[in-house]
Parts: sequence; C-alpha cells; structure tokens
Amino acid sequence: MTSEKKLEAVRVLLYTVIACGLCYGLFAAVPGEQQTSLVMFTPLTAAILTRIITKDKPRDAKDLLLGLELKGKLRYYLYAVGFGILLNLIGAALCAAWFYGRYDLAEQLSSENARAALKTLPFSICASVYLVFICFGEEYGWRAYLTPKLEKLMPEGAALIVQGIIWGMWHKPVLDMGLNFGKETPLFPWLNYALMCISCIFIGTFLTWLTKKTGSIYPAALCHSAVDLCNIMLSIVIPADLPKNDPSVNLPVGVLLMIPFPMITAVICLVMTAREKKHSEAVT
Amino acid sequence: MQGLLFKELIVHKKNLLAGGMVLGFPLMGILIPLQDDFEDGNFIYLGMVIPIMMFAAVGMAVQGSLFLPDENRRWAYFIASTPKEVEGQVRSKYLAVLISTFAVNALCIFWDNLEGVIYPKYTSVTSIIYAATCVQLILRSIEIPFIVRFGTKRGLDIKAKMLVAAAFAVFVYLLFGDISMFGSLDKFWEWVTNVMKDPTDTVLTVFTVIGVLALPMFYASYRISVKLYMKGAEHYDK
Repeated sequence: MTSEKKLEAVRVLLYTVIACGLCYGLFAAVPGEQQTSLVMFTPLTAAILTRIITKDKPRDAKDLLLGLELKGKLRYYLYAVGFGILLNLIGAALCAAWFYGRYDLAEQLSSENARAALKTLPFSICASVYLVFICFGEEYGWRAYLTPKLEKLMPEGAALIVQGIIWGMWHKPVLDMGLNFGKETPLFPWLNYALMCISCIFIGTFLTWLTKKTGSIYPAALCHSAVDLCNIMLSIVIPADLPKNDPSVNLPVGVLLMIPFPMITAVICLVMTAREKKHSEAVT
Repeated sequence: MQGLLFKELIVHKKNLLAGGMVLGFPLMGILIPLQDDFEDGNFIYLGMVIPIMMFAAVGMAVQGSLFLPDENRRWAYFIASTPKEVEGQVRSKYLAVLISTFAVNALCIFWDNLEGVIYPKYTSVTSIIYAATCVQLILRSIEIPFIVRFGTKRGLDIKAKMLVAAAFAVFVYLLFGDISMFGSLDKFWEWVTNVMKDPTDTVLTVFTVIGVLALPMFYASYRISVKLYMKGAEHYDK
C-alpha cells in the first residue's frame, strides 16, 4: 500500500469511529428518541473533524460538492425526489399485496387514517425540498466524504458495499430500538443489522450515482429527505390497528419498503455506469 | 459565478457581520428555558418566535441592501460587457438570497433538533421553519424585480405600498371574518398549538401551495429581473 493510500485508510477509519462514536454516544447519553434528528448531523461532524485532524485539505472548491450544479442537471434533482416518492409508493403497493386478505384494503383506503395521510402527502413532498438540510448532515458524511475516500482504496463496487455496511451499522442504536424491522424478528438484532446494511448498499448506490452525475451533494440530500418524509404513504395502505410488535407485520413492511425498489434502482445505475465507461473507453 | 458571489461576500461583509447576530437568537432559545419562571407551555412560543426572528433579521441585514452598492451606470454597463453579462450579475444576487435563506433554514433546523435534545418537552417546529423559508423566498421574488427596475429606494417604496395594501386586506378580514382565535392572547396561542399538532385542511393547503410556488416564483423573478436590469440601469447615477 502506498503512503497516500495508507493515509486515506486512516481517514476512513477515523471518520467511521467518530461518526459511529458520536451517534452511539448521543443515544447512550440521551434516552428515548428525542435525539434521532440531531444524530443525523454526526456524519457531517465526523467529516469536518476528520479533515481537521488529518489536515485533509480539498483540492478545490468543487471537491467539497457544495455547489448547486443545476445547469443541464436539473433532471437529477427530479430523479432524487422521484426516487423518494416511488420507493414509498412501490413499498406501500407491495405491502398491500403482501397483506392481501389480512384486512379489507378497500375499507382501509377509505378510512380516516388513509384520508388524513393522503391530505398530508403533497405537503410532505414539498417539505422534503425545503427541509432538505435535515438530511444534509448524513449525506455530506456518507456521499461527499466517505464514499470518495473508499473509492481511492478499492474498486467502485467494493466501495459501495463497504459504505453500505458502515452506514447500516451506524443505524445500530435505532435498529436496537426496533426501527424499520421491529424487535421481534428472528435472530434479532443481527438480522435487522444485515437487512439494514443490504438496504443501505442499494440506496447508497443510487445516492452515489446522483452525487457523481451532478458533482453536488444536494440531490442525494433531497432524495434522502423525500424517502423519509414520504413515508406517510404507508399509512394509506396499512391500518393503524395492525399490531406494532408483530414480526409478521414489521419485518415484511421493512423489507418490502427498503429492499426491492432500491435493489432494482441500484442495478440500473450500475448497468448505466458500466455502459458509459465502456462507451468512453471505446471513444478513446 | 464564483467570482461574482465572492464579490457579494466582500461588498456585504459588514451586513454579513450584522446578520451574524442571528446566531444570538438560537443561543437565546437555549438559555431562556433555564429561567425559573419558564413554563413548559412556553416552548411553543419559543419555537415559533426564534425561527421567525432569525429569518427577519437576515432579511433586513443582508437582503435589504443587496443591489444598492451596484446601482451605478458604470458598473451596469461594465458587467453587461463581460462574458457573464447581465444574467451573471443578477444570478449572483439571487444566489446570495438563496444561500442566506437556506443558511438560516439550516441553522433553524439544527437549533430545533438541539432544543429537542436539551429540553424533552420542546415540540419540533419544522413546519414553521418550512413556512418561514417559503414566505421569505416569495417575498424576495416579489420585491427584487421592483428593486432591479426602479432602484433600491423606489423599489422598497413600492414594496411598502404593497404591504400597506396587504395590511388593509387583513384589516377588512378582521372587520368581517372569524376572529374568535384573537379573543385573547391565550386563545390565540391555543389556536396556534392546535393547528401545529393537527393542521386543518386549510392550513395544509396553504402550506402546500406556498411550497409549490416559492421556488418556481423565485426562478421566474430571476428571469424577469434579467430582462429589467438594463432598463433599471438607465435610471442609476453615473
């Protein structure tokens, strides 16, 4: 390993330790869920601290990925919001299909809960744009700092897998609380960690593709924001009175929401990237 | 573009320093609940007031004097002759407004999260931050083309007249509309709390409409300002 690669490896390790340390520490220090939003700033904090400690100066302003880069790239911002909406829409549709027969879907769609969720949905989509900085802290750490560092150490595919694992395990405290997959899954919490890492690898692939295509971190932040805020779509198809601690509810909902659509999107992004590389190699 | 944005930073550094006072508001938001006479019910007032004051402070300190330093004909003709042209000049102004608005937005979000961690009884006010961001962008979208066309002094004069017209409309509403929530201060804050916890259809619709309108209006305002810039420059001093 060259000395430059060794330094980058140290930076990745330091970043991971700081990001996960701050996250786990915040959850240990503050009980309950009130720190969940603040913890989303820990990857950004880790990126800044790692840069300062290891004297990692960016080559130029573009290296920081803080420009909007709208010219000719507005469609990627639309893809970002579209991904968030589609992930939740397709996830909700898959959940409705999975639970078919368990409850009356027509009755659920006309229920008070579903109507309230439908009314709030347009506002949630708008809010994902104007409250983008809720997710900026996470995306800056994972996409603008960690992933480029990993790509200097290993092939792109391996970097996407490693960033997904680190990002997934960073979610450990909330997974231990039952986020996404519940607490009653078989092999809890290890199955939850594995599923989260798999989901983060797929979603991270799309977010990395967005970041590279635009040279900006904002589409990834926008996408993450849309994924989180459009989650209300699940309330349209899933009754509020379905048992919350039932693994036959939580596990399928989590898996159907977070894995199929991101997996398909990740494959599409990888195929498109491979084709572009092949084309540019053929041209040169 | 980076050069023009850097120029804005240097020209407005005094305003930015004044705008930096906006950092005092979140600090106040953290210290005020430590007072003995602070009740849990006061968190809702704090959550509303701090973001609104931050947006208002930045609006006054940074954006009010955005075009003033460049309002002379020599600069206008010079910038029109450069590769960036009028579009670059106007774009740098609009970007400065967008950056300052979203910088306050980010600071408000961070403060809101921090407040929630420090004080468990605090209720998150992201809907207020969202609305304040949208309103800030809409107001600037309306105001800036007038400033570009008529100059800062006259443009702000026209804006003041528009605000008087809006105030008159509110006055007419107060005369004939439902004002039960204004019966007393407690009733008013109770109404606000209920709206935030369980927004009515009207509030949701208004929030959605301003969200859909704000950024497109901002862009449309930019295109209009580009067309009006040289007409406005003819009225500038030499």
